[in-house]
Amino acid sequence: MGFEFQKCCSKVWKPLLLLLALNAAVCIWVTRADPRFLTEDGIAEFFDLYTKNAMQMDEEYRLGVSRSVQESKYAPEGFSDWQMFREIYSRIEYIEEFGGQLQNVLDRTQDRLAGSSGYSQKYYENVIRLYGHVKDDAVLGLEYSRGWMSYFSYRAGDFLLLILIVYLSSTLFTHERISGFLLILRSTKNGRTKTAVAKLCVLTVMVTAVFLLFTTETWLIFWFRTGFSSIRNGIQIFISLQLCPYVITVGQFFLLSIIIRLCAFIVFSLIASLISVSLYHPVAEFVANTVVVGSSYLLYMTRSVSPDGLLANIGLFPSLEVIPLFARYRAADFFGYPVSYLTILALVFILSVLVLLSAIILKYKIGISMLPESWLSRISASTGVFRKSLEGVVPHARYERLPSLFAAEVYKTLFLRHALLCIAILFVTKLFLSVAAYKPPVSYSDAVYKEYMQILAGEATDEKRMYISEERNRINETLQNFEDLQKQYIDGAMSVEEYQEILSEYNTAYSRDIYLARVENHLIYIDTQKEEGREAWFVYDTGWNKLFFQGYDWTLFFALLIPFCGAFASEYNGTSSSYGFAGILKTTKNGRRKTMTSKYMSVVCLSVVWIVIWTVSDCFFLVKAYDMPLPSSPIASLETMAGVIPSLTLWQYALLMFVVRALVWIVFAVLVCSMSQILKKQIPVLSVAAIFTLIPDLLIYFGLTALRNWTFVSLVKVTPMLITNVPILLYLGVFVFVVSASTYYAGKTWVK
Amino acid sequence: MKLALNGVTKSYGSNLALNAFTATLEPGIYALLGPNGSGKSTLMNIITDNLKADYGSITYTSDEGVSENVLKMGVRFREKLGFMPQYPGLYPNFSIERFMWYMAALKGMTKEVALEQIPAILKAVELDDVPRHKIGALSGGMKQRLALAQAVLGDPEILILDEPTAGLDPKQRISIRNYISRIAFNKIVLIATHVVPDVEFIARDIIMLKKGVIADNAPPTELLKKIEGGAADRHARTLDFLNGKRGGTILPRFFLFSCIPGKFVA
Ligand SMILES: Nc1ncnc2c1ncn2[C@@H]1O[C@H](COP(=O)(O)OP(=O)(O)OP(=O)(O)O)[C@@H](O)[C@H]1O
Ligand SMILES: [Mg+2]
Repeated sequence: MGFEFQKCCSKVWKPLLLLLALNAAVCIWVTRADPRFLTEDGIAEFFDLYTKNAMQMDEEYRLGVSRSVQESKYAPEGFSDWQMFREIYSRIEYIEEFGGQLQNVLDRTQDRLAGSSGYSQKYYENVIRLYGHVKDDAVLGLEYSRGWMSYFSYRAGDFLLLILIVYLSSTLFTHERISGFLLILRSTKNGRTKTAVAKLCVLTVMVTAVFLLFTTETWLIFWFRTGFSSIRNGIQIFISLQLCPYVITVGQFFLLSIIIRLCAFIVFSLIASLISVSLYHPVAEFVANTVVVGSSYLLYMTRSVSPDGLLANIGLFPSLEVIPLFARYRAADFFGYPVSYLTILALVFILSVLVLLSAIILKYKIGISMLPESWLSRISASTGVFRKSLEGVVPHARYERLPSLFAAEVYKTLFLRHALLCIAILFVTKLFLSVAAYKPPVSYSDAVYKEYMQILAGEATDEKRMYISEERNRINETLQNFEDLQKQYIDGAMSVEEYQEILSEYNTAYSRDIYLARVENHLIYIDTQKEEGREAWFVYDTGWNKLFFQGYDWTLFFALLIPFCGAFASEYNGTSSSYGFAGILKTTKNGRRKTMTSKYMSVVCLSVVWIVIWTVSDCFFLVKAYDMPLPSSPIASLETMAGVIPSLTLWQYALLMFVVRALVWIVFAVLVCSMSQILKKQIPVLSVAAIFTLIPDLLIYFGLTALRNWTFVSLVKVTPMLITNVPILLYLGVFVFVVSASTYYAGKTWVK
Repeated sequence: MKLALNGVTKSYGSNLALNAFTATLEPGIYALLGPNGSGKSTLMNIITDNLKADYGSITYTSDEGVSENVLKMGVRFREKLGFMPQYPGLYPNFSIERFMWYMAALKGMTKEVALEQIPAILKAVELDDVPRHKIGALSGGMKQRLALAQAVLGDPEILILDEPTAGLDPKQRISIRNYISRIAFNKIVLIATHVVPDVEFIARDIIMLKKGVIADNAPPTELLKKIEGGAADRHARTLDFLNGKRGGTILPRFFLFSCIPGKFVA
């Protein structure tokens, strides 16, 4: 046990420090003071002042002394007292209304309770009981409640912790296997169950320790930077927890949040360990864990469809955020009895811990084959059987080809590192996603728009202008005449059939009205563009817009990342050696410089192949769903693209976008390859690349919106950068420079 | 042709793995004998430039008498080199043949030469009957022989073999020993080993290494004489240690091995 602990600590402290530093940076950044707003301290002081002599200050406010926007008796330079008072009064109002709000809930429930029976009766009784307690016992004191909400909604640390936990469980179980030590360990007396238990204990202790470290760090930074309001206030003081059905204070909620989050992380670490002992393959584990996190996020997202759904409200993400769990009373029907989601969560937690624990121990004890081959190799072994049976039929000549180093690298990537399998899986995923993303539009609105745009397609000629104004007249007439006709019908001057015809005509006109307006606007747009010397046409642009504003392609990201992260790294870690094959490779004539060149070449060529496949598939789906008409119309025909390189046509711009994007992806693949040499291990490469691409977006997610289009992701998307006038060439240049520098460094360390 | 090692020193932190190793190697077989952790692999990794020495230099002198630092020579030195690491990591998905051909490409051989050498070498290490087997499916001893096969491929002038006979059965051990002595003509061969009989009759010099320091450097016959005479307790003790004995004489076991029938080529 102590031994396991040592092993683990020695491997973990470096990434731990790194992630802690990152967390600190993000925290500090998130809590930065915005000069446009009052400082938290300033407001808090004012609140103190107010509570001391409320009467006098109320009077001042009423007399209008502090009401004018310029006045700043209490407020600091540049702000008015009015703002301060608004803060105070909005809070007083909130507290005063709180009882009323709850009473509303209680009244409504009482009404429903009257006519209910069985489960819903019990449910409503519970609601009344709980909120009755809250109404009677919750104490909301007047204060400037600060710090806590931003602390509770800080998410970046959680992601870092998830990454760290994946790494932890992977070090505990997988590295041992890779190093071949598992074979020794499993054959010793205490090797199996006891080691598994020891490992799980270590895992739990480490996860707890790391979690507490992160929590303390985050809390301290928030405390220093924003400060926290009283912990004795009722939790309902926060608007997002106004309907929390329990009588708890902020402090109690904080402790609860720590416990719940810790539990969530422990369950996740157990899941990650189960994945570890099932797969024993670092890259496969990375993918599987991403799938776990991704799917729980998707489940969490279903709350936008059914806010009270069970799956949306218990699970990894609600537990990490804690607030959703307490936002209001939610319960599920359990044989006629309402069981609150919190109870279910606790049960799920206990059950999953038990199931996962036994699964891990069992799997560790008996599950895996003793051969140092992973399940991936087993799959390829089964294809090997097939190949062998083929060989039985078709007699093979002896292998007598002098392979080019390039071909050998391609072969290694495709078969040795299972890139083919990985790409196949990712591409299938991509196809599924594309089918969903590029559904042919079925909406009536798009059909109408398409019809107009097809009729008008091309330059704005006089006939087209005529058509538009005629259409406008027709629609307006229909709309105007409708009332008269309706009156006629009511007066009995019209038959039902006639009326129905008129009604449908009216409906058509009514719904076309908006889309014709859109067409008219486009005509105006065309004219203004002409004034600015740009040509614009009528084009059915739904598909073009989809193409130019494509989202970030995660499948391609992983398709480039996963196969290439081992480009150099896999040479270092063979299954049972200290040097891997690099020891031999580097002593051969062509093993250094030439092999390196062919490694980079193979990465570039293969990534070109992936990119082409991905792009072709995108184009195929787009053309199938949206026709993509008039590819030779000028780019300004799209209102969204006005002013972006006006000399291009649509297809030229699409081509340009594809080329730039492909270039960025290729450079990214090269970066992954260089990282593979610099870091010498796959998992750090995966982590660094993930962080490299995600951090800017996380920062934006947490408020740095000014840099929204300065990220790698938007560089890949191309269009957003062009539209917002980010100097894309400069950005690309810097990116290429960074990659070249790291490639140069990688090359130096490989060739030495 | 000459390979001169001059004051090669390497330490891992405070652990001095190799201390001022100095020797001049000429064509012939050299045995590097020493207990575990004496720095044999470290020395070999330094010669093959898998590891950087802290101090010292290695100089290669060609037949024409031109001396040059091997690090400066780079590729020109590596093309003369064949290396078998102690724990070679081989690609489990490659078949034996594909692997050998890949090695031929890495060593920059032409197709004709490869076509001539590969089957011959595979025959010599007795892997010619399973050329299509995946490396991952080979036994430990077979992998060991394949690692040797790739080292001797391309007829390198300098062969560095780190425990080539570890894990081989007695019959393979003898045949590999004979094979090495057969191809050693006009080559510098450096063999790290713990097993004296493996090198006893084929080595021109035995370099005894202890804790990173050369304890002795002499032809095997001289070394044996010293032990027989009991003059140098030091060597006897070293050899005792190597053969897993604490005290007593080493000779009976020594001769037991030598009596195994086989053709020895000196
Ligand atoms: N990567 C390393 N990091 C730290 N110390 C090392 C490393 N590799 C070797 N050493 C140390 O260097 C010394 C020499 O090791 P080396 O592997 O050269 O011994 P060896 O003679 O090959 O032993 P063996 O007979 O077991 O193969 C040992 O004391 C070892 O602990
Ligand atoms: Mg060694």
